[in-house]
Amino acid sequence: MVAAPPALSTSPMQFADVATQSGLDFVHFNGMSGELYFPEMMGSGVGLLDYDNDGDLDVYLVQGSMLGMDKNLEDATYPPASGAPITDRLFRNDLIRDGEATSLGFTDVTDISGIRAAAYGMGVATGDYDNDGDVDIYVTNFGSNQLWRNEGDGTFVDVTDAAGVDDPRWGVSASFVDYDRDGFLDLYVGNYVDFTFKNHRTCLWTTGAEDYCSPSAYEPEADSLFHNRGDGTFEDVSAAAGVAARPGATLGVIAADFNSDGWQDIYVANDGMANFLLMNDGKGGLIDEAEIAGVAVNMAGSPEASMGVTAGDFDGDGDLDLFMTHLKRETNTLYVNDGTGWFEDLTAGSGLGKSSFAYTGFGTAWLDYDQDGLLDLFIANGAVTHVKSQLLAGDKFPLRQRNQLFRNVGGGVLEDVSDGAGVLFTEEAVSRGVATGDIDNDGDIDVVVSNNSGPAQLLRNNNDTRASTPPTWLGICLDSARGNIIGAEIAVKSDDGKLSWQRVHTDGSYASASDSRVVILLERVSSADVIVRWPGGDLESFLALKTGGYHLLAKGAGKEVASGTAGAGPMPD
Amino acid sequence: MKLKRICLPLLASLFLLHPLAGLAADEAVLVEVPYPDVEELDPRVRRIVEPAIDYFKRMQPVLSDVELGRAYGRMGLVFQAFRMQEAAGASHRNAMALDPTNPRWHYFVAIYSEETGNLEGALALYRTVLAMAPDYPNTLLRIGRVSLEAGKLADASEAFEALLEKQPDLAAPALAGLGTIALQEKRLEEGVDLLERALVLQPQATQLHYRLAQAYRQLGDTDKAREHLEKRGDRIAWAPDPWVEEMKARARHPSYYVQQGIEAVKQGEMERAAMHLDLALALDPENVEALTRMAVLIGLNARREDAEYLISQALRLDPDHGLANSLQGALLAERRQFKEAQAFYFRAVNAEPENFEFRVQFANGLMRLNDFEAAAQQYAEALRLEPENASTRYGHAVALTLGGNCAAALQTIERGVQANPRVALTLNARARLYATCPDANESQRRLALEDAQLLYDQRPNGNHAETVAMAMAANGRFDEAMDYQGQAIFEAIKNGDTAAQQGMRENMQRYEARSLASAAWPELVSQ
Repeated sequence: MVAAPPALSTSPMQFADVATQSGLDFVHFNGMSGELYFPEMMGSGVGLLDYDNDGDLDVYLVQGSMLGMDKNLEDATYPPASGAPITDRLFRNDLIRDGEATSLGFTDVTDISGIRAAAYGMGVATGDYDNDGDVDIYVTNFGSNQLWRNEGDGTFVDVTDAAGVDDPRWGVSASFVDYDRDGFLDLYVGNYVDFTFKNHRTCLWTTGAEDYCSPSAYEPEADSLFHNRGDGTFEDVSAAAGVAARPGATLGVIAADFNSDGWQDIYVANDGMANFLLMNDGKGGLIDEAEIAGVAVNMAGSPEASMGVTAGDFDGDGDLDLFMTHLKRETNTLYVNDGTGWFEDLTAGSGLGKSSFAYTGFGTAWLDYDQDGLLDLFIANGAVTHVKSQLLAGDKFPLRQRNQLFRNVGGGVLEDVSDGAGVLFTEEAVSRGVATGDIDNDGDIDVVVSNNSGPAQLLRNNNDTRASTPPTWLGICLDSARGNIIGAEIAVKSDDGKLSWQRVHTDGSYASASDSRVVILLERVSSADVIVRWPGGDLESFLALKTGGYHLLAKGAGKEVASGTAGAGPMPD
Repeated sequence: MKLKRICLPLLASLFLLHPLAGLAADEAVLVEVPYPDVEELDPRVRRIVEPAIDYFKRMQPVLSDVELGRAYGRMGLVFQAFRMQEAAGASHRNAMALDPTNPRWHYFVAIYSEETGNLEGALALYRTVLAMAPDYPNTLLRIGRVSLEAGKLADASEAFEALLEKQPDLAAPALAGLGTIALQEKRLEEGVDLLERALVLQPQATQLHYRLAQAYRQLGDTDKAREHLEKRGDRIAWAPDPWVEEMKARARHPSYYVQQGIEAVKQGEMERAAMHLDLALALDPENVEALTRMAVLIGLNARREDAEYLISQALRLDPDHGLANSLQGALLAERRQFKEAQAFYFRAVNAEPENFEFRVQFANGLMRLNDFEAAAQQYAEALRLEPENASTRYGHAVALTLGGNCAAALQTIERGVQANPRVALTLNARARLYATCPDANESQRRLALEDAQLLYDQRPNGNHAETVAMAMAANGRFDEAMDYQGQAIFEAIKNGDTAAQQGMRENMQRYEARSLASAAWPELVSQ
C-alpha cells in the first residue's frame, strides 16, 4: 500500500518563494558594524510549529540584535529593515483551504503572544515539555537562553528561570529529547565557543585582509543536558551524563535511536572538531562512540567544520543515516548506518561530495520533495569568510552563496537538481537556518529558510503542478497531551508486509525546528491503517484513516497491538 | 599565433575550461582577471603582490603571445600563493590559452578546477598534463585522488596502479589510494594489507590509521580498530609536488629565504643554505642580498669565478650594497690589489656604518697601506660596536703603536685585558707593549715578564718566545733574552716566515748590545 516511486516529471519551478505574498515579512538583522564580530556571521534559525493547535504550521523566526558593548543602531552597517522591535517574531498561519484552492496568510502575532525575545538570537527548539498538548519553545541565544511555555491560549510565558534551563553561554542548536524514557522531554543544548566582546579577535586572510575568525580562535564550550523532572522544572545533569566534560563547538544537534535499542541517542555536529555520537546507555549516561562508529571525522580521518545535521533513512534500509554540512572545500558528508549504529562515510559515491566543494553548508534537511518515496536533500549555503569577488564588488557582507536541492535517484545516489528547481536555487544569499514542513497542508513538504541579514524565504513546494499525478498521502499528527510524542515512530504496512517507520522529531538542521507531523505516501487508496510506536515502545494501530489529510492521533485512542516492544523490526500481525 | 583577446567574466569562462580543443588553434579567449584591491592588502602581502601586478601591466603591451602567457602564469602563481583563488584562476586560464605547451599552466588551472568543485574539468586537465609531462611526479597521484573524490573508483585505481609502476618512490601515497579503493569496494583484507604497506613506507602518514580502524571495525576486530584510532593523526601519505612548492614559495618574500639561508650558514648547514638562497634567487633573480650571500657560500666551495660573477651582478644592481662591496674588496685584496680593495671597503663601511665586520675589514686594509692613524680610528669604531672583541682590541693597539702612540696603545690593551683577562692575544700584546713602550714603568715591565713566561709555559711557540725575549730585555736579563730570541728565530725559519725573521734578527743584535727591543711588532715596522 505504501507508494512506489511514480514516474516523475519534475517541474522546473518546483519551489516558489511565497514569503512576501503570504505576509511572512521578516528580515534578519545581524547587528554588524564593521567590527567583524564572530556571531554576526553565524546567523540564526527558524521554527515551524502549530503553536495555536489550529492544524497548520506557524513560523517562529529568530532575530539578531546590535552587537558590541558600546554600539547602537546608528552604528549598524545594515539598519533594521522595518520599524518593528528587533526581537524574534512569531507568525501565525491563517491557512484557508477551500477544496483544491489553498490560501496562505501569515500574521505577525509576536506582540499578542507575549514573546519578548530581544537577545541576540541563534536557534529555536520546539517540544511539549509539560505534556499539556501544546508546543513550547526554547530559544538559544548568544547569551542567556529562554524557555517559552505555551499557555494554550495563544500566549507564551517566559519560564526560563523557574524551569532552570538557562545557559548563559553561546547556544546554537538545541533538541528536546526524552533521553531517560520517563515520558517527559528533556533538553540538550548545543553550545558553540567562548566568544565575548572582550576576547573578540579579528583574523587575517592570507592576504592580510581582515576577515571573520574560525572557531579555533576561541575555546569550545561544552553542551548542556537538562533533565525534565516532570513538574515543570529541569535539573542540569550535564556533569552526570558526561556532557559537561566534553567541549565541542557545537552547531548542530539531532536526537534519534541510531542503534535501534529503544533509547534516544544524540548526534552532535561540531565545527572544526570531531563530532560526538552520544550513545544512550539507558542508565543516564551518554557515551561518545563517534570514533568507533565512524562519524567523528571524515573518511580520511580529519575533523571537519560541521554545521548542520539531518538524520533520515535515505536508502530505505530501516535505519537512520546522517548527513551533515561543512565548510567550502571540505565536502559535505553522508554517513550511512549499517543498522547497528555504526556508519560508513559513503559521500564519494553518493554525488554529495563533489557538488559541495564550492559551498559552505548550514541548515539541511532530508525531505521527499518530489514524493517519490525517497528522501531528497535540501542544503542552505552561505560562506563564513569573505568571498573575494563579492568583497571587490563592494558588498559589505560578502558571504553569499546559492542553496542546493538534491534528488534521491536511488542506489545511494543523489543528483544536484538545483538548476531546475527555481530561481531560489540560483540566487545567492547568506542562508543559515532551514525548517521543513507541510505549511499549506497539501501533503508535500515546504521549506522555510532564514537568511543572515536578509529576508526569510518560504519555499512553497509546487509539486501539485507537475504533469504526473501525485501519490495519495496521509498526514499524522500525534497528540502530546497524553505524553511525549518526540521519538515516536509511525508506519503503514506495505503490501509485502514491510513497515517503513518514520520518526516524529523537530530537531536537526542548523538552529532550527521542523514540523513534528509525518506525511506517509501511499498508492491510490482512500484510507489506510497506521501503526504508531510510541516513545517507550508501546505499539498501537489506528484503522481506516482517510487519506488526503491530517489526523490527530492520541495515545490510547487506537487499538493496542503489542506492548513494551522497544526494538525495531517487522510488526506482528 | 593570432590571438583574439576577449575578456570574459571568470565564471562564464569556466564553461570553456576544458577541453582545450574547444579553443581554435589560432585564437585564444582571454578572461578578465579580477585584480585584488592592493590598498586593502596587508603591507607584507602588498609588497609582493603589487609589484607582480605592476610588472605584468607594464609588460602586457609589449610581450608576445607566449611570453604574455608566461607573464600571466607567473602573476597567477603569486595570486595562488596568497589564495586569491579567483584572480589566480583567471591568470592561469589566460596563461594556458596563450602558452598552451607549458604543462604547468594546465596543472594550476586543474588545481583551480579541483578546488572549486569542477572535478571533471580538473581530471581532464590533469590528463592533459600527464600527456605533456609524463614524468611530473604528482599528476598521477592527483588524478587518482580526484577520481576517488568523484567516485570514479576504476579511474582512481588505474591512476594509482600506474603511479606505483612508474614512480616506486611514491609508493606510499599510491598504496594508500589503492587501499582506500579496496575498502570502498569492500575488499577489506586487501585494503588493510595495502594501507599497512603504505604505513610501513611512511609511518608519519598517521591519517591512514583512521582508515585502518574503519577497516578493522568492519572486519569485526574492534580491538585493533580502537588501537588504530588511538594512533590516528592528520598527516596524509605525502608526495612531493615541486610546482606547488614553488608556487607556495611566492607567498614569501625572497628575503625570507635569504634569512633562512643565513640561519642555515650559521648552523653550518651549507646545503640547506644553498637551497634557500637558490629559491630566493628563483623568486627574484635580482635580489642583491641573495646574490651576495650566495657568492659567499659558493666562494667557500672554491667556485671563485661563479662567486665573482654573482658579486659583479650585485654591484651592478646596487653599487652601494655593503656586503657586495666588502666581498669585492676581499677579492681584490686576495689579488694583492690593496689600494683598489680599499675603495670597496670604504663603500661597504659607508653603506653600513654600524657593521662591525666591515669596519674591521676596512681597518685591516688601512693597516696594509700603512695608514696606521686611520686604521686606529676604524678599529676604535669597531670596538665601539663590539668592545670585547679581542682581535680588534689587538689590532687597535698595534695600529696605535705603529702610529707612534704607545701610551694610547697601552690604554686600549689594558681595557682589553680587563674585559678578557685570560685571552692570550691581548695578554701577549700587553706584555710586548710593557716591554717596549718608553712610558712603561718598572712594575709594568715585571708584569710583562710574568705574563710572557706564563704564556710561553702554556704555549711554547715562536711568538711567545719572542715576547719573553722582549720582556727579559726590558728587565735587564739580556742573556736570557738572547736565548728566547734565538728560539723565536728558529721557529720562524722552521715556519718559513721570512718577513718576521728580519725584525727578529735586528732585535737579537740589540739584545747582544744590551739594548731593548726596537718595537713591539718589529715585523710590521720593517714592512
